[in-house]
Amino acid sequence: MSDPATKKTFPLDSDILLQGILEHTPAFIYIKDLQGRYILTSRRSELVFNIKNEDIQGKTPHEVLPKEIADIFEEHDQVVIATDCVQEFEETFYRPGHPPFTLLTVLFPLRRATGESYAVCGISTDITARKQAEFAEHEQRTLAEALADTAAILNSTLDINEVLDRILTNVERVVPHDAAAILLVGEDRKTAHVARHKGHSGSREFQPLLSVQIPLEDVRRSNDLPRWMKAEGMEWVKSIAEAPIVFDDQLIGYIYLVSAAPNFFQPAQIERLRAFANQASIAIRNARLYEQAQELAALKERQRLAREMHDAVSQSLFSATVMAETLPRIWDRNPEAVKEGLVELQKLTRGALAEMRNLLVELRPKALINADLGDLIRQLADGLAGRTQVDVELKLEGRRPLPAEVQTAFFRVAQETLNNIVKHARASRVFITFNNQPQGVSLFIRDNGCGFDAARLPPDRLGLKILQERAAAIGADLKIDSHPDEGTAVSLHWENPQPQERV
Amino acid sequence: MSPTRKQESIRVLLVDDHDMVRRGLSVFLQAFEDLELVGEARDGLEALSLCELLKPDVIIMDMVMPRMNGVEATGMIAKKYPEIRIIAITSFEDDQMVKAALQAGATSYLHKNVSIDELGEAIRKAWAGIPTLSTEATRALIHSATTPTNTGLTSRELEVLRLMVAGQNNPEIAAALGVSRSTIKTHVSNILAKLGVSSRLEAVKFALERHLFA
Repeated sequence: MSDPATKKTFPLDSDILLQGILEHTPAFIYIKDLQGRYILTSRRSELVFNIKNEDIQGKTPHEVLPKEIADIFEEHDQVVIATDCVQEFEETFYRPGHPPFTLLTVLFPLRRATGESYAVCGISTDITARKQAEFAEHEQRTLAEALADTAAILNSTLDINEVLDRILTNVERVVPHDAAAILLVGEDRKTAHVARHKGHSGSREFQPLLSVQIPLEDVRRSNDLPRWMKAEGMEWVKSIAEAPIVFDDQLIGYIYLVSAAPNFFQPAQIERLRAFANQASIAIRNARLYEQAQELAALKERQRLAREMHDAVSQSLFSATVMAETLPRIWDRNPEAVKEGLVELQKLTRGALAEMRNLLVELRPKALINADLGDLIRQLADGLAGRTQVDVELKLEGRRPLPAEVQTAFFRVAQETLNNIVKHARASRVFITFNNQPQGVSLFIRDNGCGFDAARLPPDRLGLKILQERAAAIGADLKIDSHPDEGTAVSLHWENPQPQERV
Repeated sequence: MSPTRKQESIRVLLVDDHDMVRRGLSVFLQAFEDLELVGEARDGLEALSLCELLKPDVIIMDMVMPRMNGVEATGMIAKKYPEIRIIAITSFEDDQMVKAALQAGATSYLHKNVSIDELGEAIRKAWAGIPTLSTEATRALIHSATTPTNTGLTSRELEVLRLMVAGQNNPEIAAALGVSRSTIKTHVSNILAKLGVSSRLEAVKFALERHLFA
């Protein structure tokens, strides 16, 4: 304020001038001595710090201001004193229970005529509003990006776990936390379980809660933490944010964010979490619809098979009836033909019976899981012998229960293979071996039919792709060996990963 | 084949994709001295080539078969060998199939619940040019004769109805036929009025029940 140029044109009293400026400037201006004591402060500082100017004079920031603010002021003063030149700082103050505020501060040393510094002057402008707007915009953009990213994965996959994992990753970009989890309500609607989880800071995770069925009443929010969060090993959790996942007005789960710091989450953050909960709801809805569609397709396929087998049964019974009516008429004339006919009649009725049983398996899938696999394969073989003139040789070894999915895969592969023989192979002999041992299960089916050239067959013909998929689903090894006019051999082998354990 | 066949026995060709049905019928033919099995075919194509080779008197023809079905084979054989009589036989109850088989030139239509005496008699009659119909086939024919299939729909309306049956909605039908949605809306309400039904679903049901697009 002692600019010689100004003094030349106007004879101003620099003290009065200074007082006027300090009284009316919207900026927060202060002068401190080198010990950090306030010498002069502008009126504005009363509004910023809520302290009367008179109470500030002669005191250090630590004596009049909260520690969080005083620390920053003193640190910056020291920088100016040490460098002895003008500095600019953006000073943001966070205090519990207060909204953060930001000052744009210019600090410079005041010098005597001799050039040595005797005080530090600061001019600060409150830029909190601008900062908040910038921050809000940034947050909105991050939120939008995170939601868009989840939406993209929603559209590209039906793998529910992939989507839920991506949701947890994206939540982290928007709402900071130590660990996150998605809890899904079970079909019984009485319990829930941690479907996906993600820890963001070291060992702080949901480990103790995995593979635990949590009673639904422990999930509902109590006064502080829901009861399930108080499980052993979860003591580190001090605050949570939760958003319900709702689908068709029904609660299907929650997204949880947890923090080791108490009172960590803000209401606005919980609001954002809800957007992700909505996305989770869509993902779960999509996955369930897909599952239903697949079930429907499987049901349709079963019904088609059932119709086909019903047809097979009625053909066999027609033939059996015709034979039963005919044989007595030719008894005297051709006893040899009658003997042959009786053997065939027996095969026909046995075949029709087997087809009926196979039909029951199609209509009651539980029958497929509960029966012995060897018996089921015998049933399929009998059905084949009954409805064709194919000579079927069957060797069965070993009886032991198998995992449902293994049982189903073997049955379907055998069924599909025998169907292919009926429809395409024009075989006269079929040889089937089935061996069910503790170490593993093997099925081998060979026919002497027309065979095919695998290289010239479209990949989805004959349901070969389906056979491969069924085998792959249980980690079994499927081999199909065929050449034109040399028949076809199909072998399926499943290695039991736990040969000692009872399954 | 029994060696004691009379010269004037009726020569029969069996056409059925089920091995066991052919086997049963071949045993059946042994019961009647005037019937002679001359060959077996597994589908319509095989039947066609055996007709040329064997010149049978009567064919017992299954309807549902791979490669070439019974109706198709009947049509081709009846055209090429009008002297061969064809007995259609099936295990399915399908009104449309009865009509189609008879239109294609089958003399008789039987179901796979026929007794061997009835079947033997049907073969003899067919050979003499006299048709035999199973009870089910007769019922099917009466049903289709008494059910008006002339719906009074224009060819455009029939086209729209066909797409409705295929499960398409108005916008899809409009796109498929290259006209506006409101045109389709008009067509649909005309169809409902002409068929005397009150909803799309009923119209589709009507079409399916009467096999309008079989």
